[in-house]
Amino acid sequence: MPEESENVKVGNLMHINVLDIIPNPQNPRLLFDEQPLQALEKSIREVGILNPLLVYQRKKDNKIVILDGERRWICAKKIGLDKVPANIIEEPSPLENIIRMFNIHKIREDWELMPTALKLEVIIRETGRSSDSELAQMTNLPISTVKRCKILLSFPKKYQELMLRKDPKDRIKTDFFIELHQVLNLVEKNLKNVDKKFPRDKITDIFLLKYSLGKFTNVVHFRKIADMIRAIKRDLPIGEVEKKLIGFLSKDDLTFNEMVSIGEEISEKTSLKRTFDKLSDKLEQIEVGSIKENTQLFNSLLNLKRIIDKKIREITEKKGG
Amino acid sequence: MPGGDFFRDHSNEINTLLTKFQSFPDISKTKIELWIENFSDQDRELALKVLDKVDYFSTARIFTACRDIFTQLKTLKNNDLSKVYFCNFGNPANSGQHLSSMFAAANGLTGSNSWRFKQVSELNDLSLERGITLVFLDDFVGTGNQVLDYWGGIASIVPQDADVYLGIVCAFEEGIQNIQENTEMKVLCHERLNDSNKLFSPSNPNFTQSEKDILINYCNSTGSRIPQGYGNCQAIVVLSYRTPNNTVSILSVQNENWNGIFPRHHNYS
Repeated sequence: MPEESENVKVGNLMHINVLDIIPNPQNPRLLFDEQPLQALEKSIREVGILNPLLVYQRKKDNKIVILDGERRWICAKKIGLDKVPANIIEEPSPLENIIRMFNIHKIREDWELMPTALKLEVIIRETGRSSDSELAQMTNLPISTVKRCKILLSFPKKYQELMLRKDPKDRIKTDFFIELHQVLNLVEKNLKNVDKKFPRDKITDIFLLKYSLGKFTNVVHFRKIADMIRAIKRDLPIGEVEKKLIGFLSKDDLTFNEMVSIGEEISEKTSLKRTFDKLSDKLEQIEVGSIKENTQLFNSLLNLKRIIDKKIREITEKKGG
Repeated sequence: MPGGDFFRDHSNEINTLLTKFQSFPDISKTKIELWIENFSDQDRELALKVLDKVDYFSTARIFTACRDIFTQLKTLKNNDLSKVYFCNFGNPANSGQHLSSMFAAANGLTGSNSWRFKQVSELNDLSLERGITLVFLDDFVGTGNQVLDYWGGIASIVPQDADVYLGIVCAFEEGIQNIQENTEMKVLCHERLNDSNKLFSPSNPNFTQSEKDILINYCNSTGSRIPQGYGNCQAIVVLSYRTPNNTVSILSVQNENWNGIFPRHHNYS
């Protein structure tokens, strides 16, 4: 290693040999978009590096590690520059490094949300701060990402591992757990009988099994179950929802679509009941005099009565049969 | 049974293969015969030869590999294991035969040493610790690209100044080089493979060119999207608890076109 990098002076702007610098292992931005990189390379060829890199010297091996400016460094290497300007600072503490890396960290792919969540967990643990806004401010992550990370952290480690598998084919998408989370919360809050029989982890295991068996493929379908549970507040019979959900959770081979269609059937019944109730109220309120003078309205009412009579007859016959 | 004569005539070879693969889950004589039946009559001798040449890592062989990796590590660390941790490198824990568990058992690192073993999701417990050595454990590396991609995601949760190693049971040289050039990890590998270990490579001495051509056709007929294995690795490696996706499809695929023999064991558990 050249002399300069053996003992760099903190606080100074120095010109450091490009080959003595290494990227920050804590920075997961290993891939960089080609286009902006080309624009930066062109600019560096024309005017050089105007904004010095920010680096520190790692105590364990004296290597110069980039804190900020990895793209500039990549371009300098590509162009063949010998040295780059860099401001040297003291080696940051692990926590400082994590926070700093968050500020230049861009999640490349959905699955990287779990490692991000784990880093966020360190920050929460070490700083004692846990509000979404504080964490978003500290890390420069959008509040929505902080919220998603916190949902992932709410799952036990054994499930977090499933999002951290090496082979994408074996890896469970973070969206699976984020969408499942609201179903678990709704079950816990609204469906006591389901919750008693199927605690959170058991429901999670069952959904994972169904997912691995291909019984449903689109995790957005969790929203349909959530909608069905939420519909309880709008008169959907709780007993019926619980019965259907318990049935679904008890049978491995029941597909998500079958569950969804059950949900839709229940929703349709609820919606019909609401329509009948509204119509009954309306009819009760109608002043007879206003209809008497209006033949069209009277005929509509008669038609309605005929349909209702017919349907009631059919239902009675079916019940009798 | 079709092929009855062939199986009668080659009963001894099949029994030898059964012994070789006995630690693979659900392996049986019938399973071997059904797999051979994927091949037409004139190619069944070749099918037997493929099984004979499979680089099979039995449980005992994996234990040996684990001991070797640990010995390499101890040498590098001058036997100072005070802050050494091990972590499964993102592989599913199948049937309790987790590589970490095997590594622990092979090296007597069970019981009071269990603190050394972490899951990836537990690495952030160590993120503020200084001076630790972290050894990721993986069973097979082909091109190394999947390792690089995975490292890109998890590097950020690896403790800042940790000395990081990747202990691998078996790996292609090109994959090891790829990892060492592009990550902070230093590789400790038990068995290194090169071009001559690739099934269809001209430098593979075990099969003639015409045999390789026949086998390529069978690989293509399995309906796999990666007939010659992920990254075109053409590997014929099988581990006692799983088959790497770099292994050729005739050995790993199980579908309506092909009676599999060493399935990859995909599940979430």
